[in-house]
Amino acid sequence: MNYSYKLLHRFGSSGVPLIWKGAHAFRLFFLSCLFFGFTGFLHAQNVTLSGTVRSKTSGETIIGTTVAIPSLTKGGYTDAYGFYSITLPSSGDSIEIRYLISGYKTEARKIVLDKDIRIDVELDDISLDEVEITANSVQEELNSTQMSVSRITVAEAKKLPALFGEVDIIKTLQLKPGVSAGSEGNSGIYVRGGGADQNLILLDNTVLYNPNHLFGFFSTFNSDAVKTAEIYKGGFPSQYGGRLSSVIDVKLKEGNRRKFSGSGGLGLIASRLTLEGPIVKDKASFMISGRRTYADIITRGINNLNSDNDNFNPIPDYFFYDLNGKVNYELSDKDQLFLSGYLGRDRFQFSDDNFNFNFDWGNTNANLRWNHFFNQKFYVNTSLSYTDYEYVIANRFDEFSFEIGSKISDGAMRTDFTWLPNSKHTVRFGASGIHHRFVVGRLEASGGEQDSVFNFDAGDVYYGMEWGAYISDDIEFNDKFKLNLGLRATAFQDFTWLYNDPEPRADSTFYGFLEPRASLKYSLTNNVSIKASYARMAQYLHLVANSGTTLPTDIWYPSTRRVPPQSSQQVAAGVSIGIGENYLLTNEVYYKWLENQIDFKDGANLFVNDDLEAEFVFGRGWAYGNEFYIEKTRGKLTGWIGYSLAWSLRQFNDSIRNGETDLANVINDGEPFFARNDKRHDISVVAIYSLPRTWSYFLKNKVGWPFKKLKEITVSGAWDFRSGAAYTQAPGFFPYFGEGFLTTLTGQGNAPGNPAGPISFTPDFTNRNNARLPDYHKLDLAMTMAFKPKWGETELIISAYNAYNRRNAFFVFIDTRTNDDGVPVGFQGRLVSLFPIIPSFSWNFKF
Amino acid sequence: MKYLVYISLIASLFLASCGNLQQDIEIDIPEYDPQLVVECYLQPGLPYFLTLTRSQPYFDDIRVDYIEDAIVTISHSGGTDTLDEFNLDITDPTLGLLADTAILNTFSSIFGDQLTFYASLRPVPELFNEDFNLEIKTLDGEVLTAKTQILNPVPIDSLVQELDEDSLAFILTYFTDEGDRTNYYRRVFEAQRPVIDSTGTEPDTTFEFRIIQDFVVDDDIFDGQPFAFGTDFEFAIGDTIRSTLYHMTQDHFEFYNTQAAAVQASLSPFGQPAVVHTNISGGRGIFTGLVFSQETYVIQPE
Repeated sequence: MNYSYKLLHRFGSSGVPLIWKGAHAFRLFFLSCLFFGFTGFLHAQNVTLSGTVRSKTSGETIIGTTVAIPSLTKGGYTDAYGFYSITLPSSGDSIEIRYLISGYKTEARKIVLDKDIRIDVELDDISLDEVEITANSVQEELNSTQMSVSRITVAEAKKLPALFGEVDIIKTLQLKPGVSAGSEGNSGIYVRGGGADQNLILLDNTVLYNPNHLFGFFSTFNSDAVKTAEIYKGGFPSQYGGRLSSVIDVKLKEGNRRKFSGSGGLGLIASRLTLEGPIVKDKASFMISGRRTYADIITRGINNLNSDNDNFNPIPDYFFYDLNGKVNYELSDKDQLFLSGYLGRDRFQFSDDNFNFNFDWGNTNANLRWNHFFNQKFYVNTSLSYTDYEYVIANRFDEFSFEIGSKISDGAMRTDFTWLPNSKHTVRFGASGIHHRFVVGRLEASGGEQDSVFNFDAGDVYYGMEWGAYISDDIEFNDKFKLNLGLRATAFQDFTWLYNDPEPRADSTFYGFLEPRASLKYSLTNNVSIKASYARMAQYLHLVANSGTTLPTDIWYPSTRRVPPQSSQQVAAGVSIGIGENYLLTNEVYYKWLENQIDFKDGANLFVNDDLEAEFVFGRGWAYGNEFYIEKTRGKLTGWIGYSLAWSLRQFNDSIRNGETDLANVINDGEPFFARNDKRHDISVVAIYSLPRTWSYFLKNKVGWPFKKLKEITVSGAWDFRSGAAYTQAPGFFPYFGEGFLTTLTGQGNAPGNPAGPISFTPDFTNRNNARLPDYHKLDLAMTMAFKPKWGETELIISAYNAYNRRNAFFVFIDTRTNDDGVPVGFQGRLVSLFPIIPSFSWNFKF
Repeated sequence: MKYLVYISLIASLFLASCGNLQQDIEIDIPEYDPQLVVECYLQPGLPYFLTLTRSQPYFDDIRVDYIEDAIVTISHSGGTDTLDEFNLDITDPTLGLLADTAILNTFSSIFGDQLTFYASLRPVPELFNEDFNLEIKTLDGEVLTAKTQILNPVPIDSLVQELDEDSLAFILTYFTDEGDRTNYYRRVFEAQRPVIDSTGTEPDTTFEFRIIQDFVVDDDIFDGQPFAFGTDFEFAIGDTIRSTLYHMTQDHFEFYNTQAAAVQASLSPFGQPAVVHTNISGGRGIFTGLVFSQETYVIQPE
């Protein structure tokens, strides 16, 4: 067989050519597909037990339900769509099947397994007074080949303290080991030493490019609309690709199929309302959810009150809102349609008589998914989606105006097949295509009457296609040993020429990757499993951001001829130990290699720059560490302790690539340096405690109003410690006299713009990320009182963010030190914090 | 009553804790090896001037560390000039610093009683686009070298005014970029404004040029083409304005940008850390030519 790979370059760490050009490499991929396919026929015929698990109250599908057949010591789990399918040996005997998941009553069914059978199950919700907070299933963690994954439910997140009382799923994920936050209060996520742009964030299978509101202090996910969230830190399933460091998969609620219901809340900064209900009972339902902040209503009122005061400076308006919607319709027993969408906007505006400044940013996305069952062992999900992220800064001064902005918009189609040929295999395969459009650094300016004085625009538009195809097989060799093998093939074509020039260019860029994935589980005992995984990932999009925090003005940029794709390889190994039924302990070690990492030249100009690529510097990175995690999953007291010990480094030395030193493309003299998000120790301690019933009984019966309808009190706390992030601090300074200093002082004249003094002192930066911010730690506390009035349920949540009022660093800067006469005598580091202790309350309702 | 006291106490503690979100911190920085720093701008027709100092660890007291007794030579096609060491007494009344106690205090705190520099009274020759080579040898045996050119000035073609309905003028400064190489410019635009006196008022008796615009650009978007820098509608009829166009060397352009970026990076969390560009081999700083074209104009009624 003659594979004529045209190599662009090799990877030093593996020596294996994995970047290729040309269609031949797809042969290897499809041969692999055939291999996986054939293995499915090597087993005797069995019977298949399948079905969907739903909530009896809402009719919504339930993800992650354990389906156990104790007599056969077999089982499975419902997938992201609430579906399960288990192949079992045929038997004429009656066997019992149990359906278990936290928050629902366990359901048991008895059947005779003599033919394929479909059992759709509805589980009763556990009512408020029976609440037993549980988290991940210990058994699921022990049995699955998947490692490096954390799941949270909204119910879990809602019990935890939140900044300004605004529940934030992303911030809850930041409390898991290996997942680190950016600066104080920031929703940016850094996973296992990766960058903020290396997270694939999916909302109902559609990419969300900017998951932040309010400059990163809140995420775009409205907790009332979200059903579950998962984060994969390694061992990535083959169906995911396009980012190097993590996959955050958020699923929206589908809507109550049984009755009209609503939920919402009032918080310190925002209010929420969610409505859901059947369109056709048990066939179709809808869910719509909205959230909006209201600080601008107050600031507008203040501005109006002071409108006659000439000395009053108006307060700028700021607000954000987001809307989530979802409709589903069951066309038949085998077909179901889902349509979901998201619209979120942040708006900052300021205006007076002559001046108007508007800064808008936000995401829009929509997804249409068709779920089709060929049979109990074979089903497919096909979706069409659109997503965009845009920011616009519009500025008007008298007759002059300018507008700058950037936008990325995608149209995508993907299809995902799941095939369960027998009890030993779960095969998944599929393909996707994404059309990207990037508007980079758009600038439009005009001025004068009818734009007569000047009128011009600038900026670049790029187009690209990203393809992916994958296959994986979860193979159960025996009760102890499971192996998941997968292969993903991806490619990216720069299509900008197609839109700008009808003739294809010879140098049109095409990149491709083969991304093997593997993970295995071996059960040493019923309660101890060891796991290992390998994953290779490729990323064709890059976020151009020149600061340590994510900002709305960060620009997504495609791979081009001069900008190669990023790639990574990660190996991880770990052990999972179930301690009794209530505790789960895991420990994982990992090592990750990162190639073609992007940074920027010193002093790079990234704002409205027509030649951004000239500012890029390419290098490599590596990260490694150990993550320890122990979780109590059941009982009145639940929670976890996580500890990660990690290192993350980067090296930008172009001479490695080209064989000669190009100083313009070297950072830190080409020597390795710690990544900004390198945080040696990260500890989180999270506890949720459901107070004994005597507390609520006492308040209800002895105190009375307002506790008449009190059902339960839960208290929670989260303590988080992170080593200080690395940042670049000049170790020295030198005087900068300027061009006119001596000529003026000596009476020799001066040139304009070069006044004599005062001289300035210029920081002498040497090494990148050579200093550390102070360690970060804080304790958040919350108390949730759940009430059950006749019309529904309510919750009053009282919380304290940063309860012991720690001054954590948002950033540090250098201030001038002066003597008693006000004369500068030196420099002093100053730390700026954002949040002191912040008490807050919010009130939630459900009917 | 005691509950009110408790509530007031808690509220007071809370309010006190909310304030002061800035605080001094000790920053642990790596050991720093001070470097020699040179600044020398060759302006044709003016004497050679050069400062030679040494940089300091960031959190030391500010005190300019002059390097004395160095041998400084600048060679070019017209020969070699040796710069002599000068010590300027900053309390010299002819400098005018004595009149302002605050400036004098600042200067003496930072510079000491005298300011040391190197100069040659022989003027810098008008040798455009030719090499100038700098060599500095210190008493400690350190050697610094650098090379630069004095670029030819790029003339301002014209100043053009536009008046709006309020009779406020907008000024365009036209010039033509040379297309044979990448050019770097510094644009300085000034308007004459009354001098603010010691009481902080503008008595309208004496005037000075104040900078309205000051930035640097390369010719990437107008390479080899005529181009114009504009202003806002902000000048009244009768105002005197001055437009200056520096033709910069690439080293000067990069030094200028990275120096500004370095200052910004230490002040802002959103700044990109910048190692300041230098063309001084063995040290920090800049050795460059300095040429400009300049036009002055008085705003006319239409």
